Amino acid sequence: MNLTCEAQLRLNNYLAKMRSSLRGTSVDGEEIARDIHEHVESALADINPAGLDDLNAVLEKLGPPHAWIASEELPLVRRIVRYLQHGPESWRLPYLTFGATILGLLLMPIGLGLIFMLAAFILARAAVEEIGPENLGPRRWLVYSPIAIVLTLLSLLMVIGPVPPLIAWGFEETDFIMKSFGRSGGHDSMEWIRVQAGTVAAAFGAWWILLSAIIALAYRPLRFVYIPVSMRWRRTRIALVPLLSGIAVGVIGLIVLTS
Amino acid sequence: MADEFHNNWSTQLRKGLLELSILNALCGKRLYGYELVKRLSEIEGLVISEGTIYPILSRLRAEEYLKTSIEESPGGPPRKYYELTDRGRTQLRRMNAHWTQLQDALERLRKERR
Repeated sequence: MNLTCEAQLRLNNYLAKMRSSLRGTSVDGEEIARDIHEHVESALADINPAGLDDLNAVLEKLGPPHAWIASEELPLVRRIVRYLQHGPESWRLPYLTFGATILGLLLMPIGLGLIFMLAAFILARAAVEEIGPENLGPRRWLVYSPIAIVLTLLSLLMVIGPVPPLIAWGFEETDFIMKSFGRSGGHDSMEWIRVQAGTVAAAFGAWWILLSAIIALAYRPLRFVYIPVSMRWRRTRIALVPLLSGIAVGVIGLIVLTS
Repeated sequence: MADEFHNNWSTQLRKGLLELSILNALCGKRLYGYELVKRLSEIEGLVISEGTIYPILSRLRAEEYLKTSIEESPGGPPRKYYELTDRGRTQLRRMNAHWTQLQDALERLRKERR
């Protein structure tokens, strides 16, 4: 067989990929490489010298070597890798999501976990959009866990917001708060506990009222972040929840502080 | 989703049929790899990637259903010829019988539907 230099390089490259694809299977890669070489020689017997285009036409019909062996015949690890490399997007994304979630959970103690968890969240969202929530089937177990984890964390952050520093300040300045609300309980521990509880409630109440305004203003981006949970959200309804909770808790806090 | 299902189904079907087709193609004759691949590729929808056939040939040889011999070709590279062994012929008879049985049963089902 007389191949041009670039065609010979292409063939060598193809055979190397083929050997790598067949590694770990019951098929002898070297034997198949000889068969493929003979196949190419027979196909190009009448062309002298055969160029890259001639060779590519033959290799295209032979197909990608990774597709020659059924997944069931591969060792488990290679089977997973094959799914990730060549599997349909509808399976690849859920597997990638699951892998990133596991890494995220394992690496959480050293701080890198959050990055992987965010990556898993983005992959999971891509998977939901690609496959469609109604078509996920058992893949929902791979996809929904990082969405649930990240959205729960985000919701907690939103509920708590900047309240802890406010509470810390309130606890430091209990005397000042007591004077501000015209109380003179001295260092009576019950009175202190009441003022501090009132401070906590008032701080949360104020934050939640502010949060409802933020939700109403930034409704669209928030709704986007919370997909698929936010499918049935309505702007007024979703903003009303923190508003009403904020008013209720805030009023309780003020009553406790002033009574 | 329907496309994905159909693709999976037809891939599974092809996998099973390729071995049967190879053994049948070699029944009573010797063929070299390229010749065999070309013959099978003529059956529409059976061979998507021609390379798939070589690992199957290798396995059939390992199972001793096939034997090979290398022969010089006139003006070309030496060719590896494949032919059925006695064990291969016996296996082919069993597979053909099974295939006919399945085909008949399926045809009966289809007729019932009409």
